[in-house]
Amino acid sequence: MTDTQSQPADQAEREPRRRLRRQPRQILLLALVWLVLVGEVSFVTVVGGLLISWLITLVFPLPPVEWAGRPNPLGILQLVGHLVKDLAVASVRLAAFAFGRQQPSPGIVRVTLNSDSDLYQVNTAELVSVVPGTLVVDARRRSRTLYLHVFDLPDPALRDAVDRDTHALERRVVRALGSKAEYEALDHPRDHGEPQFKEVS
Amino acid sequence: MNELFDLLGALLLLLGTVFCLAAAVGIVRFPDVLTRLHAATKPQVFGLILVLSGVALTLRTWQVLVLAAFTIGLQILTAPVAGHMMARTAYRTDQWDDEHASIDELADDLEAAGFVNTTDEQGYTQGRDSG
Repeated sequence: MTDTQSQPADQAEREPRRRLRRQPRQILLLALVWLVLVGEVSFVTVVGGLLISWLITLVFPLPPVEWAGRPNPLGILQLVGHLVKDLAVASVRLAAFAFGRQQPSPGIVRVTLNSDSDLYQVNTAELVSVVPGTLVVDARRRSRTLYLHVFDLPDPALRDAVDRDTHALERRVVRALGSKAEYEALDHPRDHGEPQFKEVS
Repeated sequence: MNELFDLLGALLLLLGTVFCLAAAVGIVRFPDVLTRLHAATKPQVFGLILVLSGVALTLRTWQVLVLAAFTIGLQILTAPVAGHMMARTAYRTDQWDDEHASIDELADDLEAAGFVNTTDEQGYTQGRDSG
């Protein structure tokens, strides 16, 4: 959302300045949401929406998102299609448990992602929570690990299926949002023995 | 054509409420916090999507359509975050049903990282169970 232009400022000065830096795209987007919620376009709502959005970006500043990719319409369509389908399947399964007699036997599975980006990890974590019977309990940034609570995992051997599903979801996320190089890099996962430090400045 | 949209909208509304009901029943019947959170995220979001699609099909105005799309988008973005925060807290304060869990790979990693669960030692869980 935010632009990642480097600023010619020394380290001590950077923190407060970033907080005050205007984020026009974010403000416009928030103002648009505000207008839809209010449902009326007039001078007061437009100016009020812009003011409130500016205030929100000031009080809750977001860290810049490093993003090397570009949105891929076909990939996004595929992602959304899969999302709706998976959501339906997961909901039917959970409804069956809710009304039935069977008790679930949960499990927590560790999944290490192949991509290396905050954006893709967040999106994968978001979607994996809405989708196939899993919920993110914990996440680690440095090693790109997600810990997923699986609703019904009667056999520990089924963990590999969860791993596979999550990687397939990650693949769809990167295909929808990432660059070609990033998508191809998924086939060659980096060495997890040595966690890479990738701090966002 | 209008009748078809009305019928489809009504069916979607009905189906959506069934899923919302399933979510509510799940929250009551599932054994622990983490499994209940599943009910609070998935069928609830899906039910809401169906209900809003039904409303949009019945009313058929642009404003409702845009509002419904916004609501669905925000719900999909926020429900997992709320669910994750609660799941993390429940796990770290040991308020989940680990007896019936088949595997727990997070416990090994947390232990290796030096995380010690102090809930039992302070008697919180004990006090709540006996009281």
